[in-house]
Amino acid sequence: MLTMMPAYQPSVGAPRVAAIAHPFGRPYGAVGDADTQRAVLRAALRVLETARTPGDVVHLPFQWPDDPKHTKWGPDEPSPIVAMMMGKR
Amino acid sequence: MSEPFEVDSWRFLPPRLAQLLKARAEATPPPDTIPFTPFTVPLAQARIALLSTAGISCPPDPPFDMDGERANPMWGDPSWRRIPASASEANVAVNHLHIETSYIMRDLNVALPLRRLEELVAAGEVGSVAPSHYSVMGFQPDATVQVSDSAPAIAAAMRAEAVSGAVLAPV
Repeated sequence: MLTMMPAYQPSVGAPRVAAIAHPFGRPYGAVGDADTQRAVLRAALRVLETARTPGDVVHLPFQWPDDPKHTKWGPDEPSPIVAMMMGKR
Repeated sequence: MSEPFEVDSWRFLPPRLAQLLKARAEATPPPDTIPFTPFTVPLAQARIALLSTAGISCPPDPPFDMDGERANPMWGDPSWRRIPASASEANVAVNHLHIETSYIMRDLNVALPLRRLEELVAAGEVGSVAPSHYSVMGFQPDATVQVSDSAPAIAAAMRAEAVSGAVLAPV
């Protein structure tokens, strides 16, 4: 599994995890960035190939180029559950 | 020597949501066992499939049911879709109410890197691209049906196509 949220691994228990510091919606990289997409896929496959212990987590050394504050990953319209929670306030 | 890099799961989240999800993660008990099948096929001979939780569908296959989720915000469509290896952003739909889907509609490879997988095969690093790839929709407050129905069906479809290994990428 290639995931942005390795903190969930202790409760999820995926067989092997490649953790990636990319924003939600774009786990392999930015639009048009074929080099990063290929490198991330290659790294994830390497974890598949080399992990020997159930639940292994490997933190991949990729950095997202933009500040999180300026990285849009959510939809313009709040998701139904977020809208519901906001309405309850 | 630099410190080992560790991914911060909460980095892109607003503080309140991060706090909520962190508490949820910490409150969830660990599974009794972690499933693990050793990967024994050399990657250069392996047939690889990709899975995404982005809610990707290929018309005329039906989209994931977003109206159902709008009507019941505590429900997410638990079904699954098959995506042919030839798929591209030109012929998919992305049905997910929790992410900005326009990135995937501009470049499918950000979430389901089929062209990149083809390139690794062409370079001799991977054996072959599976004929089929898969998507579910990742917002599942209750994952019972995904676990009981969709996951086994996807696994069976992979076995039928002699898939050696797969990469699941939640979005």
